Amino acid sequence: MSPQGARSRTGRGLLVLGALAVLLGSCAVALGVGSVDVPVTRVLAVLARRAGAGDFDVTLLEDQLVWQLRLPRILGAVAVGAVLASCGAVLQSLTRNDLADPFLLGVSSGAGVGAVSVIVLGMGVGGLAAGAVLPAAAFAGALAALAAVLLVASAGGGALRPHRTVLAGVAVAHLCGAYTSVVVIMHGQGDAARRVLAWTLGSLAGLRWGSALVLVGAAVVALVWFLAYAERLDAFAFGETSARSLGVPVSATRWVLMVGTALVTATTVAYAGAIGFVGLVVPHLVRPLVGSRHRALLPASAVAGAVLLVWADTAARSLVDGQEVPIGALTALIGVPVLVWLMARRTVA
Amino acid sequence: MSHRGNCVHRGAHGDLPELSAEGVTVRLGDRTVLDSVGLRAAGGRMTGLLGPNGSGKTTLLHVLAGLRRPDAGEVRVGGTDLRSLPDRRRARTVALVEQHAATTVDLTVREVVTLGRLPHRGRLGGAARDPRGTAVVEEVLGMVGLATLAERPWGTLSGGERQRAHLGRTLAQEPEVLLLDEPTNHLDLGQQLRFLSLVRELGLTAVAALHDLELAAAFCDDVVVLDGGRVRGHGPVGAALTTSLLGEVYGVEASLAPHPRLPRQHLVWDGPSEGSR
Repeated sequence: MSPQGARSRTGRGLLVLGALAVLLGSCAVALGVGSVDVPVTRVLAVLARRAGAGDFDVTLLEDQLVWQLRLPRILGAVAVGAVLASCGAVLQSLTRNDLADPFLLGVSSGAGVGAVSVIVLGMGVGGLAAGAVLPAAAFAGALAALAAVLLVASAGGGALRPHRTVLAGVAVAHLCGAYTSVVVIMHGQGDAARRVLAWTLGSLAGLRWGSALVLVGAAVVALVWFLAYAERLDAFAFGETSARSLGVPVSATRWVLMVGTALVTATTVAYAGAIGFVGLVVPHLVRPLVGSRHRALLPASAVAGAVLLVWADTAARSLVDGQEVPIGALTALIGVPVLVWLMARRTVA
Repeated sequence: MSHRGNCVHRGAHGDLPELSAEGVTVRLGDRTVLDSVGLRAAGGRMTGLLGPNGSGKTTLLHVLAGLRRPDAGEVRVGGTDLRSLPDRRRARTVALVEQHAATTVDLTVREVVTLGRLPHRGRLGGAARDPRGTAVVEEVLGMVGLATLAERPWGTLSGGERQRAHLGRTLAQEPEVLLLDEPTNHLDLGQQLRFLSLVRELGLTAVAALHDLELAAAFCDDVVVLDGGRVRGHGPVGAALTTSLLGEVYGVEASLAPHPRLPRQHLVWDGPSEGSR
């Protein structure tokens, strides 16, 4: 569909319906796929019984697989995909940098410091269950890195200029990376290195209902929040001066959105690790379809990111029997060719 | 601002406010970029802001647009201190056509012009709070001659079309004062003349930084000449652009002379003045 077609009212309506249909369809199919396949009719029976729509005859295994294991994981995939893709779109516009992604402010590397401290050094937190320690440590690490990046980027001014912010993010990420490698090399025992690497590439395997609902909540809050800024983000198209001459409080907008994207991204990283390429690539894929205005771009990116992660996660848990393929590797496998195609297209243009 | 009508084009005879600056000083580190600059841009007239490279024209325009807070001095529009206005109100009062406003974002011409409605919309955006928005955008597209190109993506436009789209965006803001920062850079002669004629026809209070003295002589009512951050000349074109001033500021032997065919002045130059920089 051409951008013009998608920008007309009917075109937009159809696109929204189509996107939601693809998302729901993907989820329904993904619920049935896995180490044990469950036919779609049985999936629907499980869902209907759980929703109280009647006393359907389902086995305990089917209920366990579909409702207890796969549904939270798929909801988590939807939420994480939506968050990462919409954060990517926001940050690319805010910094006017095509390569901006949700980890711009050092969130993933900071979370890595927290995670490696728990996985390798076995640091614990009193009173927290073992399963909650890793997310908590990752989240704390992410917040610390974010604070460091903001401190460096805003020193002597406070305007969070994109150029400085990107540099500060890179610097803090390298510092965190140094800590992570030293800890793994010096103290890693047994399969510690493998476990750290697996965490870094991300996984939705650990998601249960509680964590999935936290992620869905974060995604809803993030989308509503970003959409409130949609038109102010449009004003950044021609840069900072032009945004300010349109009455946009540039500095305040940058602070709110950079900290906001970092916080929701940190939440996803705490539970799912740093899943790359979704936030970087999805907005670029969506723009030719729906145009560059954020009122359309943000929800479209969210839906596309959600669909991408649902399929990537389904592949991650079903491609190899008895073993998870790192989801970050799968998104990169899809993301890299797309990025290359995009760069080639831009060079031609 | 109570006289805001439904028409973007108010004509030169409306009660348009004067833009004035007094004692505007801007320092960057230990360098004084603007040194106690004062000027008056009369309501509905076009004022040229002249001066060699680095004389402070862009900085002054940013101060006049309320985008940069001067270290000293103040800017008034129709008697109101610009700093007392909230951001969105300021954006409905003063609009700026920037020098190098480029983008890689693929917006259409209509979308670019619609950006100018931002200060008229609710804080959370949305067209509901701006019932006149669509009509104003249509009117502006016609005024800047882009009605037939409204759906064209930015990347396919020529330099002149882009500059007219930028002008359209600022007009959609429905400002009382229009500021332009070397708007004719990178345009060919025909595009330069058409663009400045268009700006003149709007009849808004306008201040345009211009490189080309000939264009200034042809299109401006008044000029302000900056050099090293100070005002060196200020007044109607014919009175301000004296031979001695042109020699001192630009280092050229030049003067204004009657146009051979038109009832206006134009610039005649002999060359760089002797012993000049």
